[in-house]
Parts: sequence; C-alpha cells; structure tokens
Amino acid sequence: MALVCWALVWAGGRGLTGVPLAPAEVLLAPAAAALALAAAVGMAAFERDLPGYRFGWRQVASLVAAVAVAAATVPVLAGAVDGEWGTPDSDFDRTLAFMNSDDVAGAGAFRVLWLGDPEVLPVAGSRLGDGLSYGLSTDGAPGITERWAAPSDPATSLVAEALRLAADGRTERLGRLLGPLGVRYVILAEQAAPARSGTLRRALPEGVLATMAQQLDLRAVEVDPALSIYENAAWVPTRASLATEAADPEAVAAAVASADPFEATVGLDLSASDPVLAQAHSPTRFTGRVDPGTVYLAESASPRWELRSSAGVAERAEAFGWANAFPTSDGGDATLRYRTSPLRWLAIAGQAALWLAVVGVVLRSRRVPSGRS
Amino acid sequence: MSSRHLPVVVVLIAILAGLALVDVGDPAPPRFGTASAFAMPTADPASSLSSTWFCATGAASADNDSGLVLTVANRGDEARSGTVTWFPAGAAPVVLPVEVGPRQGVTLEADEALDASDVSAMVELDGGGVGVEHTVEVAGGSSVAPCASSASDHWYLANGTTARDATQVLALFNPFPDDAIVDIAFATDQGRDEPEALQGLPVAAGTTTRINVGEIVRRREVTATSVTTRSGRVVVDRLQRFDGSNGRSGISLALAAPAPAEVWTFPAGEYQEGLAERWHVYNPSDRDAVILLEAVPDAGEVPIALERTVSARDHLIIDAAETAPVPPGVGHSSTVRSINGVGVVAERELSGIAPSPRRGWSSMLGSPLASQGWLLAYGAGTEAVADALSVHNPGTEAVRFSVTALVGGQEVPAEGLSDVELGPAQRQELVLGDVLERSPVPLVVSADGPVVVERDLSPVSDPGISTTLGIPLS
Repeated sequence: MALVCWALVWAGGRGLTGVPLAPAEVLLAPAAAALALAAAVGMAAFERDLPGYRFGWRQVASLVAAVAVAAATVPVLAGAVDGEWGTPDSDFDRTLAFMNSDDVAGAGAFRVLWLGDPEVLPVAGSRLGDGLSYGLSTDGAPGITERWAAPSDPATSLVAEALRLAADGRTERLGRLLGPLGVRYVILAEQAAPARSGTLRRALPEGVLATMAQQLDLRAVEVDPALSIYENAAWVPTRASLATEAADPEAVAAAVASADPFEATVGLDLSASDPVLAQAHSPTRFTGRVDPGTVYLAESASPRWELRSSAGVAERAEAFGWANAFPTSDGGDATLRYRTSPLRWLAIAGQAALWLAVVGVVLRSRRVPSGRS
Repeated sequence: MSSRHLPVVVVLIAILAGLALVDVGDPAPPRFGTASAFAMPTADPASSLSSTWFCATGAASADNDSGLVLTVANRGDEARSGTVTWFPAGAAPVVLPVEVGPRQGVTLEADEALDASDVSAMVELDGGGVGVEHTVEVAGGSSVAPCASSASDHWYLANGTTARDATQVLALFNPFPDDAIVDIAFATDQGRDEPEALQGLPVAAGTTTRINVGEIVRRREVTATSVTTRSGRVVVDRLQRFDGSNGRSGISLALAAPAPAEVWTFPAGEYQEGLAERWHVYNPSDRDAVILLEAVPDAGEVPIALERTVSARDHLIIDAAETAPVPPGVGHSSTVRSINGVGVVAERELSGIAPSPRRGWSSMLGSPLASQGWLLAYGAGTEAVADALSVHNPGTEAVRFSVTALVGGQEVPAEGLSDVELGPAQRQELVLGDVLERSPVPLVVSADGPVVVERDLSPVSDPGISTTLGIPLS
C-alpha cells in the first residue's frame, strides 16, 4: 500500500496520471498508515516469532529496522532543541510592511499574487506548471488563514489563464488582465523568507522572469533579493467605482457587460477607478461612500451580494463575465454585504447535532449494564 | 514473508527504483511559457489577445528631415483597433486611436500627430495577424525596416561606420514603466572598445536615448555593436547616414537583432563595378565561431562555401569582390552559417557609387528564420521606386509560393505571381511594378514550405538603396 501511494504521488506530481489527484498529503496518509502497520507487525513478529526461528537475515533485518527507527528520530530531536524546528528567524512581514502604509492601504483594498515553488510560497498555492504554483493574499503579506487552500472557483482560475497568456507572448498587458481581479502586486518568490535568513531557495522556472519583464504595465519594486516584486500600474481596487483615464463611461459599460474577462479589459486602462466602501467589517460586509456610476466588486459573481444605500437596493449585474457590478445613480453612504444562505446555518447546526449524537453513543456504550458485577 | 511474496516485492522495489532514476536523470529544467529571446520581429497569431510593436527612431517635425512614418498592415479577417503612442523627446507621450480594417493597411505619420525633433512609437492592437514597419524619410531618400515585436535585454548589430562622411545614431527606446540601465560595446576595425560613457547608461522609463556613435567611437570604418541591459529591456534601432562627401550618400535604417543565431539568410545580393557587397559577421560570444558563407547564384555552378573563423568578441568582413563567391553581376542569395554551434550576427552591406546605376548604402541583417507566410507592410507605390521582391527557398524540397496584395479588405492575387515553383536553394526575383498597379498596398507571400522574403525599395534614378526583410507570420 505504501509503495502504491508513493508511486501515485510521484506520478501525480509529474502530471503523468492525466487526471487530477488528491493533494500529496492526502495520498501519503494511507502510506503512513501502512508503514505504521508494517512497523507494528514487525515488532510483533520480533517478539513472538523470531525467538523460536533459526538465525538468519530476518534477525539482521529486525536489527536494521530498530536502528533505522532510532536514526529517524535524530532530525526530530535536533529540530526540537531550540523549539524553532528549523524555521527561519525572519519572515516577509517586515519586508512587505510598505503595503500597510497609509499611501498604499489608503488607495483601496487589493490582492497580492504570489508565484513560486510550492515549498517557498507563503500561501496555499494552485499548480501552474512544473515547480510553479500561484496563490493570493489580501491587502499585503499573507496571514495564517491564507495557508489553507480555499475551494477553487472560476475567478481563481482566471489568474492562471492570464499568466499563461502572458507567458505564451500573447499579450504585453498582464497588468490590465490582473487589474480587475484586484491584483496590485505580483511577487515572484524564490525563498521562503528574506534572503539574509539563508533558507531554502527554489529558482523560478525559465521564462517566468522574462514574462514579467515584457509587461508594459508592471513596475519593479526593489525590496529583498528573495522576492521579485512588481506593482501593477493597471490595478483596480477590489471595491471600486470604475473609471478610465479618458473618462469614457460608454467604454466602461461595454467592458463590464462583456462576457469575456480579458478581451474587454486588455485594451482598457481602468487604473483611474476610485476605491469605495472603505470600511471592512468582515470578509462579507463593507460600508462607506459610493459614487454615482458603477460600483465594482472583485469577487466571484453571486446573486447573494447586495448593495444597499439610501436609494434602496441596487440591481446587481455580472461584470467581465465573472465579477459583480452595481450601477448606482446616486452617491452616498452604502452597505455591501453577502447574504449568507440559511442552509449554511442549518448545515452547521446539523453537524453539531451529529457530533453530539456520536458523543452520546460513545458515552452510552461505556456504561456498565445494570445487573452485571 | 514467504518465498511466494518475494518476487512481488522485488518487482515493486525495482519499479520504484526505476522511477527514481528517471526522475534524477531528467536534466530538463522546468519552463513556464514560451516567452524567450525572439529571433526577429514576428506577427503574433491572429488569436493573440493583443499585439504590440515598438518603433525606436524617427522625427516628427517638418524642420527635421528624418520624418517617421509607420505602416500597419492587418492580414487577418477581423478589424484591429488599438492605440499608437508617440514618445517625443522631452515631452509627454501622445496616445491616439488606431483602426485597421481586415486585410488592409494604414499609414501613420508622426508629424501629423505632433511636432518633435525625435520621436519613437508604440502600436498596440487588440489581436494578432498584424505587422508594423517604420520608414524614415529624408530629403533625397528613405529607408524602411520592421519595428520590433518585443523588447529585449540584448541587441546586436554587425555593421555601422563612423567614418568621416558618415553619421551613425543608435536609438535605445524604453517603453516600460521602469528605467533601464545598459552597457554598450563595439568591435571595430581598430579593436574592441567599451567606452566608459556608455557603461551603466540610463535609459529613463518611457523615453529614447539617442547616441551619436561617432562622437564617442571616432573614425571607425566598421563598428559592430552589443547592447546589454543591466536592468530592464529596450528596443534598438540604427540610423546610418552619409553626406556624399566620399561618394556614399543616403540613409539606412535597421532594427538590431535581439540574439545571435547560427544561420542568417539573405535572399538577394549582387556586386559589380561600383556596387560593393560585403558580409559583416559579428561574434559577441567568448568562443571563436567557425562560419561558412554559402552563395547560390541565379545562374551557373554553385561555388564551394567559404569557411572563415570569427574570433571571440570580434567581427569579420567578407568582401564579395575580393573573395568572388559568385561571378560579378550575377544575382544570388547567400547564407552565413555557424558550423561549430557558436551563434553570430550577420549583415549584408550594399554600397554603390558611380558608375553603378545603384548608388547609396544599405546594411541589412539576415533572416534567422524561414516561414511559410510573410507580410510586407510598406508599399512604395510610385514609379520612382524599384519595388522588387526576392523569395528564397532555403530547404531541400521544392516549394510553391504566391504573392497577394491586401486591397480594400480583400486579399488579391498578384497577376502572374500565383503558385510559382521554387526549387531547393533557389530564389526568384520579382519586379512588382510590372505586375502590380503602383499603389502602396501591403503584400503577403504564402508558400507551402519555409521561404525567406526580402524587398528592395530603392529609388530607380535617385541615389539610395533600401532593402528590408518581410515580417514572418505565425
């Protein structure tokens, strides 16, 4: 079982299976269980079977196995001495502190696109190619929650599509493709921590840096040698009032109505869009001022998003084939929220009830029946 | 474990070991995408999301005689729209809309959009199947060259001169939002030169730095050039002018090459009394290059190729009159081929003085590619210009090609130029004025095998030689 699981992980990692497989951690769990079982059976055999057996390779194998188990604990013990487990003594929080400055944060909510080997990415990544994954963080350096892979949605796959278009030389305006996705910074990571930490280095695949260098709307930001950071000159805040430098509302409206996420935006500079709904109370509720025009939300299209102002509930439309747009005729204070489905709360309550039922069954099964001594 | 299980375990372990060895033995580094050093300007596929062209040099002033004209040709079935951004020296860029109908061309003249002594341009369109050429027009002559379809961090030229009668200007165009830093080196007839003034030279974002080479590398009969960026990417043009004081006159515009190559093909060539033909080969690498010059005449026996060695970081000149690879007065194609794997850069110079009927100077990079489709955007359209096309078949099989004109939204076959057969290593020279009405239309050459196409737009009676390769279609 262990051998089969290892073979599947290897083949899946090289894209040989032809079908997507479960993440490596999932496939390796049965292998770990099989190894544990084999170790247990081995110990049982050593205790019960070998004493009565003639001396041979089996006794030697048992000795080798015991030594291997002992040796395998050495790295664990070494890592446990200082409690750091080999983690670097610095991270990118300080390196990317400029993203928390008033100038940057005050310009509107944004996303950061991370590219690199999965081993050095500080976010949960989706595979883009051999030795290359991508992931997103919100408003700066990623937090612990961004290390868990969220369920994939069509919007996430648009990032990969945009990157492949640029990598294949089919556009020099990657910034305009990523702009409506709220991507303000693109970071190519070759190390898991700042360069001075001396941590594991994973070079980027050939072509990645050349692809970024060809883009007319990505401007390099020098911060740390472990990171190649580009600022997107065509970035649009994730909550914005859409505008072009040419102040052409018809062009904006036509682009918003387009079902193709890239055809309309590659020729349109939306960087003049202003941030709106600045106060984020939670990931699903925002308040603040909006301007007359089109309020844009760079989240996957859903009828559960609602923009409410003094003029009432704004009609929602799909934008660029994947996001949300709310035409507003009046400006003023407004609230944008996601109306969570009641089914979600029912599902949570149902799960809690199931757990309670399981606990009850376990407790009941441990009670000694009356009348037994 | 019983002996029955042993074979199974052995097989499984052998499979795992084999997989591990394959993994370790795989030397190919991972690669993402195909964006890499492009060999020459190429039209993007029609399915591209957008295409961008960079034209580094020219002027936009009635007072300055090197006016810049862009010709945009659309070979596709759909109209293309976008913008042209003019980058005048010392002023803010000017962005104007552009529309090109299907199977049509449009001309954009810089001095109709702005007034500037020096200007560069960038054309962005909402799809591929488009080629852009730029023309510099001066009193008494003009020169055409393709614009660049991509910027690069390396550029090379195998020829140029800062002789007494010559002015050589390099235009380094940076269309990106980041400053670029470049180093420039020359291989000259007096040795290698890396002027301090041209090391760490900044090219500000959205600007063009123009270098009069003769002010820094003085009185050199030949200068081969390497431009390398320390950061950023640029586009490099060479503008070579002669004042006629030494018999040479005219202007020659050339886009530099972004990378060395092992093969450079020139579909046309000729030398005779008064008209010199020279091949300039520059080796920018740190290893010697062994090259062959293969010339195939239109008539007569094919001569043995000339073998030469180009030292590392040096250049070599092969003069047709001195080496006589083919008889004088016989049209021919030629190929410079590196045979030891070291990439070089090759140009063919045509220099004509009296009594040659062709007078002027032109130096053109060869083609490192052969393609089944070529686009020629600029059309001369007057009786004063020769407008000849040379189509060369570098392969070992015969091909058939056709020439069509993009006229009024249609692709119109040129009379007598359909399904023309071309044998292996053969070339065909076509005088277009004989078969096309003199109208400035873009042309397309389509073949059933890879060919190389060159166009001669030299004046019929006035001085000047203007030759340019077509733009390969993806």
